[in-house]
Formats: sequence, structure tokens, C-alpha cells
Amino acid sequence: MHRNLLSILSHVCHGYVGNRACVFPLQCCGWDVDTVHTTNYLNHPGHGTFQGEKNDGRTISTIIEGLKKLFDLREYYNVVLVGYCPSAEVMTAVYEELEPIYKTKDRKEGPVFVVDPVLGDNGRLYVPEEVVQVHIDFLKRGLVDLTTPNQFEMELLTDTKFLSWNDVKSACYKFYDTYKVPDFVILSVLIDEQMYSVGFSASTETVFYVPIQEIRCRFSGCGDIFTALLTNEFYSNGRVLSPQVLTLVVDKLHRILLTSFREERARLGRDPDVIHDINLVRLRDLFERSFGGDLEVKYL
Amino acid sequence: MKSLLSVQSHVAHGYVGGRAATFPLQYLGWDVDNINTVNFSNHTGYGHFQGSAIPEPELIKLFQGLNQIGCSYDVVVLGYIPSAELIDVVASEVAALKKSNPSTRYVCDTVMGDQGHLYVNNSCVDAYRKLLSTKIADVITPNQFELELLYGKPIDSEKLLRDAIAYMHDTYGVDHVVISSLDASVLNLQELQLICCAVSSRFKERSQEQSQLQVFLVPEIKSYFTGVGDLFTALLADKLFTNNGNLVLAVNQVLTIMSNVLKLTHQLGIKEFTQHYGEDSCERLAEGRMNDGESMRFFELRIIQAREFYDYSGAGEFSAIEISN
Repeated sequence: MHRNLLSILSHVCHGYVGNRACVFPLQCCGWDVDTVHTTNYLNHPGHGTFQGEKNDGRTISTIIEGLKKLFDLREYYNVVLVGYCPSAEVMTAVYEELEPIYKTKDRKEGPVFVVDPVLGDNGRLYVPEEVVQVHIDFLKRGLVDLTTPNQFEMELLTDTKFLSWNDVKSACYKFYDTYKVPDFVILSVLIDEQMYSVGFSASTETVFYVPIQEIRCRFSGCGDIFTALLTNEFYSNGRVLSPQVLTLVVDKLHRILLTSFREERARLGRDPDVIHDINLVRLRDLFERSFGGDLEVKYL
Repeated sequence: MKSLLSVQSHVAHGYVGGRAATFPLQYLGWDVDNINTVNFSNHTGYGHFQGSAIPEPELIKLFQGLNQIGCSYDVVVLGYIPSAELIDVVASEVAALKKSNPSTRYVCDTVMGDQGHLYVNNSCVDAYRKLLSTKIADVITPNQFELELLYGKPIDSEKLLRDAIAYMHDTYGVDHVVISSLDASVLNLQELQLICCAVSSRFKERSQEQSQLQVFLVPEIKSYFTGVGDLFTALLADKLFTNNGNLVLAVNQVLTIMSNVLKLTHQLGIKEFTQHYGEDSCERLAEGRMNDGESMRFFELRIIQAREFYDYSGAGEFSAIEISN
């Protein structure tokens, strides 16, 4: 059976972030991925120099309107994925185009709506301030099925600071109360010097977490690959986030990062501290295979 | 690591241009960078589309930026470029790229039209001739109509075909000429339902040697598939590279893969079309009501589902006929 996904993320000519990081892994898992680009950048900021253009709201609307003339988006797509938008104007255009698909939504019908609220990382916003508010307003409409904020984004959206597991737990419940997104994952949370991936599912009203084996290196595009893998497993699991889904994805991502890290180390002759471009194409085999995902799950 | 720059169209939905080329190449292990010459919702086969071409200054900036950040490529594939102005930009930027990386191979698909129908502005013909006369292209993959446009004359005999191909080698300095589809009548071949793919290699460094014209006869590819030429050119770029420039073998492999991809596309298309419109809808397809917006989406190339075909490395299922002088 055919699986169709609409992916609305950034485009770069060179490097693997945004759509360039999400699309190939999904295609390797058998998804037909339609792509709307929110940017037409040369590369990503990790490279130091940074060029290219943002697409404007009108361009994005025009493309999505074009798709609407081909078929009913609600019927055609199994998943709609929204990620990095460079401005509040683009973010608003995307949401205005998508909202009608979901307005009449019965939760079990229509495309799964996945939003990666790309706002910033490590204490720093990398979108204009207004984008935060657009996200907040939209998330509150109760249309999103799965979202993947990082720790910084989660803290920002819940106005909390993660110092202990208690903070994480109350932030998760607060997030659910405020935004009514039934499933979400915080890719990495740092507590007591150890990294964990944290998931919440309204189906069981539980917060659970799995340990991440840390690799001392920064990886650009890692969050985008994670969202792609998670989306695939989430959909395959009948649109429910379970601890099993989370462990499968965390385990697979670890293998991807570790392979990438080892290859870079072999090339450099030393441990890299940053990998700007995870070489996705070379990791095809990892995307296509299934792994056990034997990680210890804990509940909060 | 094999690296490739693909300069082609982007569509949000469907598989043409960069969307038909990128995934198969990535699947074959190529690190593919993309410059999108247009950003459209879908291809023109649906009868309507929305979107826009890249502005010239932006295209210049992207080419120069790739050079600045130190990108170099084993292969550059040039596909659909929507206007003469943009073809001019590509010509001068690619010349600069080639200067800094002389070993890069250029595969140029002069996308202009098919079967007597031009789907770009007339001015693109001259722009492509100008681009090719800089002798930048190592491989070109025109169909018969595009070859006629580049040569400037209709081709209706073996002699004219030979002359046109020699012209491509001589004037444009092209090593490999692949005429992706050619009417069998040009070669006085009366086989029905067959289409020719003519190939000729003559290397610049051995230009005094005679080129040999070889022809493959392949079952006719139904015209309602869009993006066939783009996938063909992408696979050719890979197979020529992996077979060290052995054109006949490369084309044979590509034709074999294409035949599998098209068979799968046809099968799945019919199946899903009838599922959607009911069993008796098949008659509509038989009546040739293809290429309308409704049926088009069922017959997009199955680029994803066909992925296991791409790394075919056998001898090829077709045989080349040598057309002697």
C-alpha cells in the first residue's frame, strides 16, 4: 500500500538539514514524499557562511494551492509534516493553508499532523520572536497529532526550566493541558549529566523516557532525521506513541550518529567535535533495516 | 564518495526533473546537491500548475556560493531550465565551475520538447546551442526532436542522423551522444511498436577516430509517462561513471532499468486507477484519455517503489545493432 506524505520544511542546495535530511530516510522507508520548501538556501548556518533566500508566504500558499487543485489533501496524504519556517509570515501561510484540512477533523481520519516546532536550541532562538507566538496559537487549536520540541523549545513553550525530573514531568503535563497535542517527544533532555529522550502519550497519560548513549559531538540535521524516523514509526504503530516506538527510533538514530561519527573520525584521524552533514546517502542500509531497540524504558 | 550536482526543476508533487533524478541517484550512493531551476506545485502533465522560476541573480548566487564553500563534483547533470536567460546564466556559471574543477563530467539534457512540440520558449534553442558551443558538455541526451533543434534540420534518414551526431561531436565537443528516442523509420526499420535509442561515442582526445553509431531497439514507451527522460539521464550519469565511460553497456543497463520501472509504473497505475474509478474505468484508459489531470496522478513514475531496480549491473537485456557506414 502506498504511503503519501507532505513535508513542508527548509531546502538547502548542499548539506543535510530540513527537507534534505527528512526526505531521503522517509523514501528509503517506502514513503512517497511531496515537498514544499520554506527556504531556498545554499547551505545551513553550520557551515559558517550562509546564503540563499527565504521563500515568502505567498510562494508557499501558491504551491499548496496548486496541490489542492490536484487532489483532496485530506484524502491523499497519510501524513503532513511541518518543520522549519523562516518567518511568522510563512508559518502563518502554512497553517492557514493546512487548517481547512483539519477543521472537521475526526482524530482517526485525515492525515496525521506532525509539527516540529523549530524555534531554537541551546538557549538561543533561531527564528524571529513572532514565530514563537504563531506556533503557540496554532498548537492550541488541537489539530496537531505529534510534535517534537527539543528541550529549549519545550521550556519555552511551557515557560519552565528543566532542573530535575519533576520539572520535566510537570512541563509535559502542562504542555498537554495547554496545547492538547496527544503525543510528543523531547528528543534529548539533560538531567544529572545524562541525556534522555522523553515521550508523552495521552493514550496512557504517561511520561516515559529512555537513556541516550551520548556521543560527544554536535550533529547538524539530527533533529530533522529524528522527526522523520519518529513519524514513520508513529504512523506504523497506528498513530500512537508508545515506549516501543520511542526506543526503536532512539536506537536507530544512535546507530546513524555513531556510524557517522566513526566515519568522520577515520577521515580526520581524531574525534570530530561537530559534524555539519551526516552523510545520509551512505547510511541507506540503516534506514532500510529494523533494529530491536533494546533500551530500558522508565516511567515518570 | 561520489558527488553530483543536479540542476533541474523542482515540483512539490510528482516525479519529474530533480524529483525523478535525485532519489535514484542517492539510492545508488551519490551525494546529490540540488539547484532548483523552478519551484512548481506539479508538472505540466496535469494541465495546470502553480509556482515560479528562480530569479537570475539567485541562480548566480547559488552557483557561486557552492564554489565558495568548496563544493566540487564528479558529475554535474543539467536538466530543465525554463528560459534563455537562465540557460545563459547556467552556461557562464558552469564554465567557471569547470575551470576550477576540470575533471568534472557534465551531462546535459537539453530539455526543449518532444515529437515536434516545443515546451520552452523558442529562444531557448539558441541559448542551448550557445551553451553547447562552449564545449562544456561531455554527454548529451536529446530526443530526436531536440537533436533536430540543435542541428537545425529535420532528420529523416540515416545519413542525416549520422551528420547530426557528427556535428554534436565536432561542434559541441561532446564525447557521448545518446538519442534517447528516435523514430524507427529514420533507420528504415519497419518494426512496429519499437523505438530506437541511438548512441555514439567519440572522445575529444581521439577526435580523428570515426565514431560508431549503435542502435538499441526497445518496446515503445507509452507517452503518458512524464519524467522518463529525466530518470533516463540520471541513471545514465551513474552507469557511465560506474562503467568507466563504456557507453553501450551503460545505455543497455539504463534501458533495462527503465523498462522495469515503466512496467511497474504501468501495472500499479492501472491497478490503482481501477480501484479508484471502478473496474469498467479501464475503457477510459484504452480510449487514450491519458494525460488529463484525473488519470495523471495514477501514472507518476514509481520512483520509490522501483528502488530495487536501480543498482542493476548486468549486461543489459537489449542488444545493440551496429549501423555501419
